[in-house]
Amino acid sequence: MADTQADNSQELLIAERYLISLDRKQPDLGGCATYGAQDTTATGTSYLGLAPFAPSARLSEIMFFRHESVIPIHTHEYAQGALWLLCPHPPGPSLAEFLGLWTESQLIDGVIRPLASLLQHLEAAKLTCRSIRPDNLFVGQGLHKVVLGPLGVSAPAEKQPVLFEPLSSAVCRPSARGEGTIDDDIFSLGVIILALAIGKLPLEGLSDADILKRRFEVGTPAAYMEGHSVPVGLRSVLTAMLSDDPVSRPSPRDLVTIAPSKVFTVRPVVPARVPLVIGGNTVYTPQALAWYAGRHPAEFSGLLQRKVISNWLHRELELSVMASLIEQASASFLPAAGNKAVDPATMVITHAISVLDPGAPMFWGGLWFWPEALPQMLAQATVQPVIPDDERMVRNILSFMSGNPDAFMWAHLPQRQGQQITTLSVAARRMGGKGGELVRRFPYDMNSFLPCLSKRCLDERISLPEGLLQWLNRHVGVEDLPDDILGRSGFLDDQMRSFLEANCARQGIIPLSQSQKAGLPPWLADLTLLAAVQRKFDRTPLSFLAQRALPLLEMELRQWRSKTSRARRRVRLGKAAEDGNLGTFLATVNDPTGLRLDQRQAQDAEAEISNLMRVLDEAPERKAAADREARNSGEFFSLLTGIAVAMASIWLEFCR
Amino acid sequence: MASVRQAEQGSLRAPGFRWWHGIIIGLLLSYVPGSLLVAGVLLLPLVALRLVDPNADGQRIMIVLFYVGAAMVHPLHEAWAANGDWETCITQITQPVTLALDWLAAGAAWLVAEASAIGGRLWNTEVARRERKSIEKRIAYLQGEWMTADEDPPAS
Repeated sequence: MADTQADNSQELLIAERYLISLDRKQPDLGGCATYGAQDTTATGTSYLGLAPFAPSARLSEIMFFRHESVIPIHTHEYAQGALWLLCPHPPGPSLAEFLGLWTESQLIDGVIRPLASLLQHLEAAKLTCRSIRPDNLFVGQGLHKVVLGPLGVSAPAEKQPVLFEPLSSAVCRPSARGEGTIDDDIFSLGVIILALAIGKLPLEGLSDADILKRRFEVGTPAAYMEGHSVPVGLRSVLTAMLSDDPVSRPSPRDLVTIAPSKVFTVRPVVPARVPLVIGGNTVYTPQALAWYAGRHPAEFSGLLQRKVISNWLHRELELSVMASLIEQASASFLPAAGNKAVDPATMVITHAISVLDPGAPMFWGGLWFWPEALPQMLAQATVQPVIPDDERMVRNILSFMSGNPDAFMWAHLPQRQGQQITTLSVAARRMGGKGGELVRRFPYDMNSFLPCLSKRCLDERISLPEGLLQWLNRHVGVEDLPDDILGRSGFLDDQMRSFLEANCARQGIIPLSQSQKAGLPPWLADLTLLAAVQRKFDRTPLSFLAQRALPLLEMELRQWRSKTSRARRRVRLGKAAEDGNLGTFLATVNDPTGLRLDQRQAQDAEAEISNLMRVLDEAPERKAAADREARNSGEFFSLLTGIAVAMASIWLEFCR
Repeated sequence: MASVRQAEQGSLRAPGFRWWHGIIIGLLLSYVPGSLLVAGVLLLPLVALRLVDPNADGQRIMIVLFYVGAAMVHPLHEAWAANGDWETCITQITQPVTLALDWLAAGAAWLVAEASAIGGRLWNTEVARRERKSIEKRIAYLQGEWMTADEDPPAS
């Protein structure tokens, strides 16, 4: 995967094959930035290059999904750590450009059957689509057959307008909608069929809140079809598909085999005889009450405490089981308890809402959400907070929910929510971290395609650890990373750390345990993490990074007592920095054996010095002894010469 | 045993005379009085040294004895050759050259002993100085290697 950037930086060559023209911006496909692309090995083959920001966590499965009614993902490649998807051009313009007015048989043959067959295959693969909306449906020129844009290129249901989402996910913010079910796709399909049948979008011109209000007031089928001339043959199927109760919606199999004027039965929603008024709105159904409870929690809890709601359910709707459940829920009301982590009042509202509408998402902490969407919500809140305190709030919810799943596991928790909460807590336990770090890692652990969310490199969409390493290597200069920041908070920020740790954990390596991390300065912990990532993922040298760390590591060399070994290691450090291998670079300083040897030698040297000092101190005493010795040896020498002289004299006297 | 006795003798202040010394001297006096006279006169520098230099120990006396002995060879030979003739002996001990040689020999012995002691001491001092210098060099090296930081004050 050699990635090279062409000279003019307007063209990106990925996998040495696909040339993406960054200046040829195309209309967004599937909700992500799209560019013209070419296969350089086969002239004339033109593709679209998609730059997804946070694709579905299940993209790896979705990529292998093929169906005639969906634009396939031709291939996926990484360029400098950023994911690129290549897919063929759509057959024609999208429905957002021109809806047209379709006849019943055109709708059945060109929309319902192909898309129902698609949904059937998706259901078999345990996937969902969640992207049936006009701007993602394409019609070939002169044909009456729709093709869906590539699946999974954005977070599930994130780009869906409120109009195209069933109530159970429309009440949530886009990032909180979760994977959903095939029933949700059936609903979206119903809306598109309706729009094509009447030639325009229903409830056109209303704001999202008004659309929701209207749908809760009279039910979605009535709200959408009111005042439009819907073909008679489609009325029954549309009423079923647009039903607010997922159980009433037809299955994909029912739709594949649909014949004109096929009749579907829907369990009728029985509205209350006398409405309940909450926040100035009249409410006829428990579902609507649940939604308004989320909008006016104070008033709702007042009604709950005064048993107005249970009485209303009992008398006007004759839902005695629900009434008694609500009564139980409000019995656990603890007025004005000041526990910050779980506000009992909110918990009671959450409980009451889940009783009122078992199909609704979870309402907690003022947010509607599906628990499985929490990681994606956190990612979204980090990148683009809706309100200033968004990230902290989502983080608290995620942290509490993954840590205390039991707090939510009351008897009547809807099964889907229960499963999702369990999945979250299992994932949290597997990750093994704790506190803010765990929560930060959540999105990365749950979605391997999520790019690093650090503000510094967000635009680069880096979703490969080696890509982040290379990016860091290029952006490690003083202008990007001033010295004081480097010394204080290290090379990485929290998001980068979580990103790399999640990627390491996915490969089964844990670079640094919590306790080890506590003892190290941040930049050293970062370097260790980076070295582990480099060893595991990418052997490309990181010279700039190492050069930047060089002065800091040289300070660490002070641990070595020996001057020559410091100098030697400094030279080695310099060389390792040039080579850019962080592992050897760090090992030069992080060498416990060498350090121990050095300490021992230093102690030996100290002992030797004190020995030598003592020897010097004893010098006068030894000098006296030496003088005596010198005198003795001098006299011995004199004696020898004396003997020699005597012998010479005798020789002279007698032998000459 | 011998070394013990030597040590005992060395430790005595005066040369330890024993009874057999007296017998030997008596015999020599009676048989070769001339030669003994020559030897006695020529050994006078020893006695003088003994009196002048209180530091002169047995070893020093021994050294001087060898030198003086060297000077004594000729007169004693003469005396011996003349069969202890009294006149020859007198001539020998009154010869200024012989006496001068004798005293000079004692002086030279003393000088050589002192000079070699001084030389030895000087040599030792030089050796000690060199040793001290190498030790100081080693200490400086060790301190430089192990006790200095590169740019900051010592870590230890």
